[in-house]
Amino acid sequence: MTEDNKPQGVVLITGASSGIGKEFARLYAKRGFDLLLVARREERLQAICQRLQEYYGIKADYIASDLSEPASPQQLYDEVQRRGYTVGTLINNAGFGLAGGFASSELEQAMQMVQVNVDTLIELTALYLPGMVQRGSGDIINVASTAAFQPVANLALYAGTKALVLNFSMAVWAEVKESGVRVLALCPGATATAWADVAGMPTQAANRAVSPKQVVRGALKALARNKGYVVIASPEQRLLKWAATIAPRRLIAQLTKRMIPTEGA
Amino acid sequence: MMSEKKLTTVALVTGASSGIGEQFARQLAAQGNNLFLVARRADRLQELAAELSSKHNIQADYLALDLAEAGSRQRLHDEVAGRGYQVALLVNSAGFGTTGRFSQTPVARSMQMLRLNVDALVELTGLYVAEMVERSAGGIINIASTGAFQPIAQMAVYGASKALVLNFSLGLWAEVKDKGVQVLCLCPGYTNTEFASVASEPNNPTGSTMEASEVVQIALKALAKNEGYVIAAPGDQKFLASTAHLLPLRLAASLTERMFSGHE
Repeated sequence: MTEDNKPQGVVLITGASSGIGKEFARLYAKRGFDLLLVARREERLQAICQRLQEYYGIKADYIASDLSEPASPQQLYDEVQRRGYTVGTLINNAGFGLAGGFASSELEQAMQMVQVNVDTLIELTALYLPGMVQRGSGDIINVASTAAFQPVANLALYAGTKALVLNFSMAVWAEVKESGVRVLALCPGATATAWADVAGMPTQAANRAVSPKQVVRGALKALARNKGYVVIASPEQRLLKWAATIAPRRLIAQLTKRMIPTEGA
Repeated sequence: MMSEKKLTTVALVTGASSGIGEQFARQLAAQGNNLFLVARRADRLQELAAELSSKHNIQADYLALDLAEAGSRQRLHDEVAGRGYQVALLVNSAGFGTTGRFSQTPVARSMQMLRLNVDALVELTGLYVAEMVERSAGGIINIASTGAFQPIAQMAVYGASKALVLNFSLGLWAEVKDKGVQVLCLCPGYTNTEFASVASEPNNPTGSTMEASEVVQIALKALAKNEGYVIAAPGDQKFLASTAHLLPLRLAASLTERMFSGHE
């Protein structure tokens, strides 16, 4: 990103209190962007905003919101508007996983995952994209996963949500390419964040080969070149994605069953 | 002496008032299955239930519901159980598509499509798969589309919703395969149904359509063999869907944008 084509307006980041979202906040602040951070944990957001403002001299504001609530995207949009911000960059990073057999999962938790990973992501994109298209500039980064490229048994619904995010983002990328708006589906492999803990995967078994820093740096590089999607993963993680292009879907689905460790499976 | 059956086994079909859902109802009834039909249009459901129950000597019950509404799925589950039915086969056929640029589609419409194509399908699957696993018996058919296999510009949310259905269903298929439960992701191509009138469909690039009856025949055969997924479409569309993953993503997305942008 150069100063010339820096989008106007704040960078709105969901799931900004930890992991990849927090790293996005740090890197954008470092590059001189004002921030608007969203997550559930207000205290964490407050601390992050204060630190980034002090360190980098940018303005960092926050809104506490539970994005697993169906009404939250519209409410967030209304509040952002009330505070007078123009969103130049939207980073749909909020999301989580759920490991284990779908039949034995907590359905309520599974539906919350669908709300956050899918419904909220799409609705926020729908709310902010028209303004960006109208202004002829704007960036949207939707966090998907290497799990987007094939079915993954024992992460069946999570992988499905990421396949949706990937395909949706690529379609919108193609639609708005000529308008000056950039869209990126970011596909990290397993990253060193709290993801595995939340998903119920044994921590020692989770292959945390990629750091949030690598993920975010790779994302911004790909966004600058408007690549549509980017995979940030270790060679091993890439292997699965590559295998998906040559092996039949059914085989992949069955093979992945053995690959995903689950607590108390 | 006849033993008293406490529960009546049914096939639960959503989106049953027309198109592929209606065809499932018809063919399942013809095979001697009892039915529980769901859609929004009560009059159509009532007609269909009456016709099929008398024609095939089966029980056909129904409930008119908007499955896009949160709470409706749990309500359906409770109502079905309350009426003494056990669901042996779940067919998630309720869904629709829209065409046009995502940035120009009303937000509410995109969200309604998501709630029906994704939330409702996932929640109903979740509500029934656990009890099927417990009985070591049962089947689930989730309707995706040939549109599941690559990004589709001008049908961004629809195509993506189907990509979720495909990958989710296949993951689930692998998980419950050895537990006696069969899962099928049905991927129709351009089919002769009301879909086109709701979606104001862009020009069908290959020009061919398949009859809903044939789509369903293919599905029921594939379910019996527990194939995981099946593409039920005219040859050219089936070929495109089967090979879509070989095309680089950016190229696939750009091609669909070029293909459909003439529709504006």
